[in-house]
Amino acid sequence: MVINMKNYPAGEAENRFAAIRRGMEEDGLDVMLVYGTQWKLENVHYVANYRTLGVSACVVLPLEQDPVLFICEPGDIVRAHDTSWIKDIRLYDGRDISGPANLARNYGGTVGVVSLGIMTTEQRRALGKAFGDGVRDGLRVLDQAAIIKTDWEKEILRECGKLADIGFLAQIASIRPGLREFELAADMNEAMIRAGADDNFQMLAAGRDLSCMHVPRESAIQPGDLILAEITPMKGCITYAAQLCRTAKLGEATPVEREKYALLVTALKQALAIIKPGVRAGDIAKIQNRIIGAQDYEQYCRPPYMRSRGHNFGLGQFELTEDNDMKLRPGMCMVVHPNQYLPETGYLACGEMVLVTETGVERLSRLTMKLYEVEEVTV
Amino acid sequence: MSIQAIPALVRGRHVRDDFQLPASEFAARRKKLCALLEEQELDGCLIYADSLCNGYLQYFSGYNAVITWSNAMLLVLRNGRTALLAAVPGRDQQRVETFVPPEIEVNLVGISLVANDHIGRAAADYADKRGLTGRQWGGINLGWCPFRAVDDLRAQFGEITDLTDIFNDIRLVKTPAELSVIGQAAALAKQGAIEAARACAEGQNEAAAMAGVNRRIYYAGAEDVQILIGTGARSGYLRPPEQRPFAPGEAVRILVEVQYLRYKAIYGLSACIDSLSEAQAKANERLAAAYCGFKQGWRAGAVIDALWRETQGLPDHSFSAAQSIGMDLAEPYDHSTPLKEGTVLSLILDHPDAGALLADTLLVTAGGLQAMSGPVHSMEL
Repeated sequence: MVINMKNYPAGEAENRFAAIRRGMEEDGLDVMLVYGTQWKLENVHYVANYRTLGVSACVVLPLEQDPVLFICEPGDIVRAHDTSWIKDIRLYDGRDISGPANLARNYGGTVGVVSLGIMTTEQRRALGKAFGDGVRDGLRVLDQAAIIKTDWEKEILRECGKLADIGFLAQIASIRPGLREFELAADMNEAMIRAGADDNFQMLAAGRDLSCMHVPRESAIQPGDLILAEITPMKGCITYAAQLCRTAKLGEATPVEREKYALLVTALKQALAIIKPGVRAGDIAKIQNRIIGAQDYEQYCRPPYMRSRGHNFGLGQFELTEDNDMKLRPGMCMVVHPNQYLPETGYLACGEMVLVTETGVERLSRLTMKLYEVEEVTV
Repeated sequence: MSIQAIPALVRGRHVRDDFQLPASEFAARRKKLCALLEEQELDGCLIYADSLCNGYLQYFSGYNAVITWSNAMLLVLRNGRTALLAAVPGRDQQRVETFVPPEIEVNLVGISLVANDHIGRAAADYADKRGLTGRQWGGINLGWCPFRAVDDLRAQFGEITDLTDIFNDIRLVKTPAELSVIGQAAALAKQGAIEAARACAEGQNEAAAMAGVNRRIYYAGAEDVQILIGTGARSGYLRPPEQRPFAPGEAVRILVEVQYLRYKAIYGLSACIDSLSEAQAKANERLAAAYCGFKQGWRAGAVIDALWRETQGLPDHSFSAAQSIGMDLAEPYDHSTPLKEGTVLSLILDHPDAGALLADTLLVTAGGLQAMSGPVHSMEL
C-alpha cells in the first residue's frame, strides 16, 4: 500500500507544532518564520506538509495562534489546500517576504527565521524593518523538532526503504553492456516512481578503479565494470528519504573484489550492531574506521578519501564522523555507509538506512549485504 | 487575461557533463561582457549563481551550479581574465574543470549543507590576494545572493554597480548555437507531451504513466524532464503527477519542460481520456485561434503588452503566460519593450475549466513567431 502524503493521521500536525513550540520557548522566540526555496523544500514541508511549487514558500508559526502558509504560485492554491494541514493559506510574491514578516511581527518582537543564511539582502532588510534586532536563526528549533520521527514519519521512511530496494533491483535488471549511466538512472527512477516515490536523488558510477560516485553521466557500461549506486528515493522532500548504497559487477567478481567488499559488509554489520539509544554518533563512525583501518587501510579512512560514515537527511542534519558527540535517541534515522576507496578495487559502495528503536536498530532495506554479480548478456 | 509567470519547475538533477557548446561561444560572451565593462568604465564583474538562479554564471562559463546543488561566483576582469569560485569540496576539482573552458581558473572553496554564504568572503579573499581591490566592480545577479555574502563583497569591493538588467537585455537575443540547442530541447518537449498524452488511459496511475514518459525522454537525450498535469473537475492548476488513476471522461492538460545541453524548452497540449467534451473542443479551438494570432502579430518590433490587451481570442477564465526562455525557464523580460529578432519565448495558453491547454517554445522573427517544435493542438485518445 503506497502512502499518500495527503492522508496524514490525526494529531500529526499538532505533534509537530508542539515540538517546535517547545523549542521556541527554550530559545525565547515569539514566532517562527520558516522559509524554504525550491532547493530547501524540507523546511516548509515539515511545518505545512506542502511540497513547494515555484520559487519559495514560507510559514508563520506563532507560539499560540494558528499558523499561516504563504505560497507563491496562484495556480497552486487548490493543491496547497488539498495537501497542507494549515488552513490559512495566502499568496505572496516568492521573493519579497515583507508580508509574512509583517504578519509575524504581530505575534511578538523576536522571530526565529529558518533559512536565514540563504536570504537575500532585500529579504534580510524586510526582516530588520519588521523586527529590528529581534531576528534569530531558528534552524535549531526546527532541527530539534524534526530529528525524532513520529510514527507516521517512520512509516514513510519504511516505504522509502522498500522503494530503494526496488530501485536497486531495477538496476540489476537493467545492467547490460553499452547501457549509459543516465539511461540506467532513468530505468531506476521509473521503477521507483511507479512504486510510489515522488523523487529520487541519484548518484552512481560505472567503470573500473573508480574514485567516487557522481550524478549520472554519458559513459557506457562495459563488461567487467563495477557499478556503484547511491539510491535515495523520497516522498515529499529529502527529509523522507531512504538511501541504499550497493555495488554490482557486470560479470564475475574477482576474489579480491569479493574479499574487499566483504570487509565493508563486516564494517556495516558491526556498525549496525552497536546502534541503540545512548550510543555516541561518533562511535558508529569509529567502529567502521577501525575495522577497515585494521586491514592496513587507515590512510584511506581519512580525507580526502573518506569524510563521513553516514548521516541523516533533510532537517535535523547530523554526520557520522568520529568527533560527533551526539547521543542517539529512539526515533532517529540515518544512513550508515562504509563506502570506501581501496587501492586494489577502487571505490566501493556499501550502506543502508536504519531507524533507531528503543532497543537497537531497524533496517529499512531487505536486500542482502553483498557484492552483486550480474551475468553478462550481450544485447 | 494577464501575463503571468510560468510556474517554476523543479530544477534538473541529471546534468550531463560530456556535452558543451564550443569554448568559442563562451569566449564570445565574455568578450561581450568585457566590452560592457569598458563602456561602463568598470574594472571587473562579479557574477553570482546558485541552484535556483544559475543561468547568468553558466552563460559565461559553462559551469552549472545545479551539478553540486551549491553556490558559485565568477570574477571577470575587463582584460578578460576569469576565475570561477565554487562552493564545492576540493575533491571535485577535476569534475568541475570538465565543465569550464581551460582559460577559466577554477577555485573550490568547500561546501556547507546549510548555507553557502561563505562564497562572498571567498571572492573577497581571492581579489584581495591578487591585488584586485580598489577597483570599480559591477555585479550580475547579486540580488539573489545571500545577504551575508553581499555584505562581505561590499566590504571588500565598495559599492557594486548592478549590471543585471543591462545583461538581461544582451542575453535575450540568442546566438545560432543557442537556437540550435533550444530547438532540440523543444523537439524533446513536444515528444514528451505527445507521449504523455498517449500514456493517459482510464485507470492508469498518473505518476506511473508519467514515469514511463520521463524515462523515454531521458533516453532520447534530455538532461532533465519535468511534467506538470491538470486533471479532473478541479483541474484549475497544473501540478506534478500524483498517485491516482485517470478517471473516465477526464480532460488532461499536460505541460512538459525539457532541459537539453543546459537549455530549456516547453511544450503543452490537452487530451481527453475518451472523447472531447463540447466545451473542451470549443476552448481548444479558441486557444488555437489565439495562438495563431499571436504567431502572426508578435513579430520583431511589436510590443507584447499592447498586443496582448487587444487580443480577443482567449476565452474567459483562461490563464496565459509569455516569458523569455533559454538557460533559465523564465529569463527576465520586459513586455513593454519591442520584441527583438532572435528572442525565444515560451507561450502558455491555458483554460483550466474547459481542460484545454496549448504551450510552445517560439522564436521571434521579422515575420512573426516561429514554432521551434511544430504545432500539435489536442488529441482524442
